Amino acid sequence: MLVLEDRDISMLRGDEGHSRQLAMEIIVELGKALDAPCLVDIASVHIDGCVYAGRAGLEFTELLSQGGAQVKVPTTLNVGLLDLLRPRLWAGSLDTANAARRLMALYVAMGCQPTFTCAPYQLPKRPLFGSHIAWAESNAIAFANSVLGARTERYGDSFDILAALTGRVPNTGLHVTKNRRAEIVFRLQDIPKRLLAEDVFFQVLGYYVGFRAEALVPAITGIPQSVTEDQMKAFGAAAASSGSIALFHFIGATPEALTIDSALQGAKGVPEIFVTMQDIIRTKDSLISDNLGQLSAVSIGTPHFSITEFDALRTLLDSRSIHPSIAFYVTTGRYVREQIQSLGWLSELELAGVQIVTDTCLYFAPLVNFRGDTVLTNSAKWAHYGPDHQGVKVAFGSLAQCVESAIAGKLVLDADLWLDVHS
Amino acid sequence: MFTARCLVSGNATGTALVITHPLCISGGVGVLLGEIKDSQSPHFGLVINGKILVMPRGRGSSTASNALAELLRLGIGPKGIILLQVDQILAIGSIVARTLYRTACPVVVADLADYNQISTGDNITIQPDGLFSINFPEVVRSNI
Repeated sequence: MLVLEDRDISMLRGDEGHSRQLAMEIIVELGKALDAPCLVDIASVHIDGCVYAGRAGLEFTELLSQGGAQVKVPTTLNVGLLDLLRPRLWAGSLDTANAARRLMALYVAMGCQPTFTCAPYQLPKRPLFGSHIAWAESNAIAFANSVLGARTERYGDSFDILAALTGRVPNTGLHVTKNRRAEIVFRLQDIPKRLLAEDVFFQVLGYYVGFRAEALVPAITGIPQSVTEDQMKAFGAAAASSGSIALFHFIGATPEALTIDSALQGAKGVPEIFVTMQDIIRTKDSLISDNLGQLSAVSIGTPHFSITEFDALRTLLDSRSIHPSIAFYVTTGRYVREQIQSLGWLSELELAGVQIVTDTCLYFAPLVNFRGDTVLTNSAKWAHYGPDHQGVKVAFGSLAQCVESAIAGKLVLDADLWLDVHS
Repeated sequence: MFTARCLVSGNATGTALVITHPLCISGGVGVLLGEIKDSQSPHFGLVINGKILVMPRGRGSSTASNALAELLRLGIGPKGIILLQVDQILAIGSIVARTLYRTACPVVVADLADYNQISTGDNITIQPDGLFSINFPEVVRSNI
């Protein structure tokens, strides 16, 4: 039985306009269907609906924005379909570009911040531990729940804006403590320490865990306490691509998993899976297409590149330049782009042949005609979706392998990294 | 009659298509024919257009809601969806399409035992209260 507060009923009655009325009607309909006891206040929203995926999403946004409706809580925007800072980088139709641009503008007109990033956790204001939020974009959901300890369900496009317009969501799913317990445990077995320090390892581990855990909440033991935010970002994005992971626990590292008992909330008899080097290598190989051709592009920054990743890129480039036959793309958010600009890194990277793309994402947006190309990435998410979305063959490897290959103008292998030896 | 939890209410009658591998509707379904084009899916090439889509849950991207709404707008989406697990993302896709285009694509969540009774090709009717019936296809008799 869903119990509403006066302010919910007021919005339902239409006291705050037609858009909030429609939004509240749908939230109440879903809340009832989900057996939620009540609605809960949210502190922020991250909207994924700003990426153009056809007329339906655009027309729904147009309907909601009528009458000048404004969001009620701080709301950030995920990527759109094009780079508004570099609009010439476009290989799609003019109609699609116009629709995509209009959609992005409609959300900004409703009071959303033009952040256009899939990594809103890299922005200065982050959700607090334990706070309720409504975030869409699968990697952002995983990061917010797991790394920040904020609480969001797996929200989809078009629900996100309803939450933003009302500031309310049904109190169900991952908003509720008992649903946040680990339901399956993965134990790392004999993974070389050297590999445990590599970002690319977390890409592969996440992809494996997502595949095996499907929609269960996984806990992982054996992760070093030195694990970085970039590594957890990589893990979450990969796990949310191969599975429907919205929350994971790294025992001893993430905030709701100081111990295995706290992650399990006392549950016993939870299934366990041991993760071996064989699993890791098999998973890594599964991310690489058969019959790779001549390398023509490198695409990194899925999810959006962080400042620390840019720093690592500069170090690896070491004043060398990208080979002229290779297009080297780094996708990032406007905020991080401004940061690297003020540090003087942007011009340095551009001089080396690096192309910085903001506001969007290269594994699905029609910015470049990649069809038939072989593209190297360090992102399991890119490798997962890229072949079907862009019609490419994908090679997958570490950031170092991406840089060395881009400088050499051909695929450079890094088999040593994956050797099953401890050093 | 089988009882199911109703996420989005509506009437639907159609032929069941049972998908064992959770489908990512965003990018995983063609917008011309409604065919499954996820190359990693064992159901590659099957058409969801006009079917009662039966699958454990959706998978992956947040964009699946608008992708489902778009399929329904184009008239090439499923007639209804029977799931094993609650999936808000698919539910909202159906609601968006209903709001804009008055399409009905009920989304219900069945119990495992009932879910397992359904096979591809069965004729399914979903009622607005979430109840659904399965009419197993009759053996085709030749005219004597």
